[in-house]
Amino acid sequence: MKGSTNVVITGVGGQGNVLAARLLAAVALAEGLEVTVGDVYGLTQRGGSVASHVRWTEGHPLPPLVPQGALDILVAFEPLEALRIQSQFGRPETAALVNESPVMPIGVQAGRFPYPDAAALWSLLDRMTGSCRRVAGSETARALGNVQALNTVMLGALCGSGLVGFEAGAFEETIRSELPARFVDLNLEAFKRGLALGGAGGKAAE
Amino acid sequence: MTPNPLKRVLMLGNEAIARGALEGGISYATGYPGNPSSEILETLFKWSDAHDVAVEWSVNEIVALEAAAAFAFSGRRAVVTMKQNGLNVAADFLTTVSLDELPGGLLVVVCDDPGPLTSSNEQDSRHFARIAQIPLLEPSTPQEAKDMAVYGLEISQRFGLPCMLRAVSRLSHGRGPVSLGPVASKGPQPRFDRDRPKVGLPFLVTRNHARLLRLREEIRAEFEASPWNGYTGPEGVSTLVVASGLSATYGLEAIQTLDLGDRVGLLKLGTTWPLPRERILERVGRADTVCFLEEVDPFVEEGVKVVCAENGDRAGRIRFLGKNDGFVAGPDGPGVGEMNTDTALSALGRLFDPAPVQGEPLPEDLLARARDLLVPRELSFCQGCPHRASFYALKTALELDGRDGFLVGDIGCYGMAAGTTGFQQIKALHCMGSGMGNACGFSRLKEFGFDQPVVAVAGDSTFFHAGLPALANAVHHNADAVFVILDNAVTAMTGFQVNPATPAAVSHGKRELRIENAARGLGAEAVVLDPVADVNAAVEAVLQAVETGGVHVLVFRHGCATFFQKRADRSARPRVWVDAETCLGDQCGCNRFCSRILSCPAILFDPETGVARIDEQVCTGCGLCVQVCPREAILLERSEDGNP
Ligand code: SF4
Ligand code: SF4
Repeated sequence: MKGSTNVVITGVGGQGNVLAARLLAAVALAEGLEVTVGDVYGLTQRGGSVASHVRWTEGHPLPPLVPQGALDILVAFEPLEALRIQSQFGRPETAALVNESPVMPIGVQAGRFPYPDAAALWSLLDRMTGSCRRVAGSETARALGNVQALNTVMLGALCGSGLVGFEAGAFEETIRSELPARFVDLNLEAFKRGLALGGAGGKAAE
Repeated sequence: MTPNPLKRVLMLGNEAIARGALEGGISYATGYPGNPSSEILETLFKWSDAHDVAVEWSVNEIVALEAAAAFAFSGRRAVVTMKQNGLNVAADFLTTVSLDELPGGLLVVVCDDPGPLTSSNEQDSRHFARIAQIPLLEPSTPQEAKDMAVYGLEISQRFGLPCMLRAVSRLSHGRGPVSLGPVASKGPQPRFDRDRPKVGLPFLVTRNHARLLRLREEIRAEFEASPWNGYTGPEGVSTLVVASGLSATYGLEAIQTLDLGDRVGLLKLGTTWPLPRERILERVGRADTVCFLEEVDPFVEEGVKVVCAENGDRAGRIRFLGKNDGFVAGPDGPGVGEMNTDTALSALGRLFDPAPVQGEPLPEDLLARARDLLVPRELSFCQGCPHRASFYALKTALELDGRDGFLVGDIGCYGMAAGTTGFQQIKALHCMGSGMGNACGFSRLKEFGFDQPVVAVAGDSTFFHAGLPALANAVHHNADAVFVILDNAVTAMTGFQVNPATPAAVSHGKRELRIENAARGLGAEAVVLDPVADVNAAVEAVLQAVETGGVHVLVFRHGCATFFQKRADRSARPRVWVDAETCLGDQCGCNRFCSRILSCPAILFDPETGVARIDEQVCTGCGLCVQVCPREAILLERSEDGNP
């Protein structure tokens, strides 16, 4: 819809991308925007795909799901999930930020089908988006000693990319107010490293 | 807390409903867990102490509703929550309590699951508001969900009958800004008036029914002026969209996306039973084309058509477009699946010629290539899940028995046993406890020459929710029936809620009921075993049960791995690894049994070494794979302190 911004943050159950969506929405709300979030997941068990749709506008409240072909920004915690969401909601102009580390579906692990070839997957993502930036998100989170920090690394990358137009300070404020005190420092550091990834060609910060 | 009405907080639709119930002055909240409704009670549990609200997960939905009604009988307000399937269970009471005169307030919240995302049907619960003749509210945003919950409690008490609030998955699990209001006081000391009007006796029903229908007209009059109903758009346009609840936001987005704001009006309805007749005629009467957006059934569509038929002189000739004529249809057809902006766009787009333009889609060749590469992410039992052991034992026993036996079951994590993760073992899966009732009939089928063994599975929570009557029925009729109760101690599927089988240590002192005691009390044989600790003993027990007559209850007891792992000390976890020397990989002839067939998420097949490998980060140390590897190549070492 004209005047609306449509973001999907996608990943795999257990990666915590729902939290990243909540933080992004809180930033948009603090900016005075009319924001809506829709979490899309199946049963509560692990291993399934989980996507959060975050949308904002200055007008009427939007419904929780992004319409097909209306996706502006895709933040994917996993490359296969990036392709899944882009196929369903994407348009040729979508800007994507994609964490490089794959998470194997149970059927791949069980040998029932193969995980797509990395080169084929990335080249298709490049062709299906306006821009597709690869982010060393998991690597950065692991370097920080906590894989769950992937959330704020990816948020940092999103902020650093300039795609959403919210200031880093607004994100940092939200991280401080929304997360339990004992996780704040770790996540602020993760966010900072993410900022560099978003704007520095997607390579891990030194 | 004195909330600042200017400050808006982001809330899940379900949290907003909980907040509304709280602001509406409830003293009591009950329910039975079920997606997408569970978060309402989960949220109220968090507020229960601070706001002095009694909150409980009841044993099933009808008990939840009956218990909540006791508060309404005594002048207090209560809320009861459930998913659509649950309303069927509660319907017996709902359709009689609406004939009562309640001095308190009773809000019935039903969360429907169009699509369905997590359910065994996609029923439209709104029909029950009509059957029970009670007011029905359909919110379109979390803010409205909160405000309608407050209003619903108020209108319920004022008219003395239950009010129904109907949400759908996308609203319940969607998040939006909500401004909070004050929390109302809970009312006077509760008291049951022994002289209150009598109800339920047949000779009183007609009188009370007539009263209920009079009330319906009073409520309709109130709804005519309700702020929940509203028109957006220019005057004098001939095309009108009528949309209820969340569908109003889909309609609005479609109109704006197609730039039809000056050619199409939208009548949003938030009070959908009884329908605000005048409000509808006022708008519909000026249109010549009326298009309906709602989910799941054409409930408003048919209601509006009745209003128009009864007021032909004011309605005029109208072209109705909706589900009945198939004009409004998602990819699976009209009246099937969720409503969304895409379906609204497609319907409105077809109304105008030339069709309004949208952006360029992705090229078909790229989408086709993506379809080739996209592999599914199937659901699976978690690592260490007791159901993996249980269904492996059941499958093995029925194969050994060799008489084409099969499983009937119902819904819960174990329902996934209809799929690959549970070796496709469950062959009939309908509603809570349905397998146990089915088993009673399969036993009688023997009188007609039926000779396949049948095992009914049900979970611990399901056993108390709906299994007890089926068990009594089986014992009473001297059935030959095998019931395997998968007791994992919590209601795992819907978010690990406590139930009567939950140990007191976990449920904070609620009394724990033992399934085997209930079964024995009803006269059934009952055996308890741990299928994970000794999977072969579980196979034996099933084999024996299907080969001997009578009613057998086998309680497979082992806690939900995911719930208990969160609380467990990681260092006490047994270490499990594959002896790469012993594992023969593809040379073994086991067809990669552990990774491909058992398919535990912690077992990987390493293509480089050609043998299996355990991901020690993920493995819970349950030991199932150790017992079933034909080469005994998987080894387990318990930690010093020992962890069962
Ligand atoms: S949540 Fe518990 S019961 Fe459900 S699949 Fe996971 S381990 Fe099994
Ligand atoms: S012991 Fe085996 S079956 Fe159990 S969780 Fe570990 S790998 Fe899976």
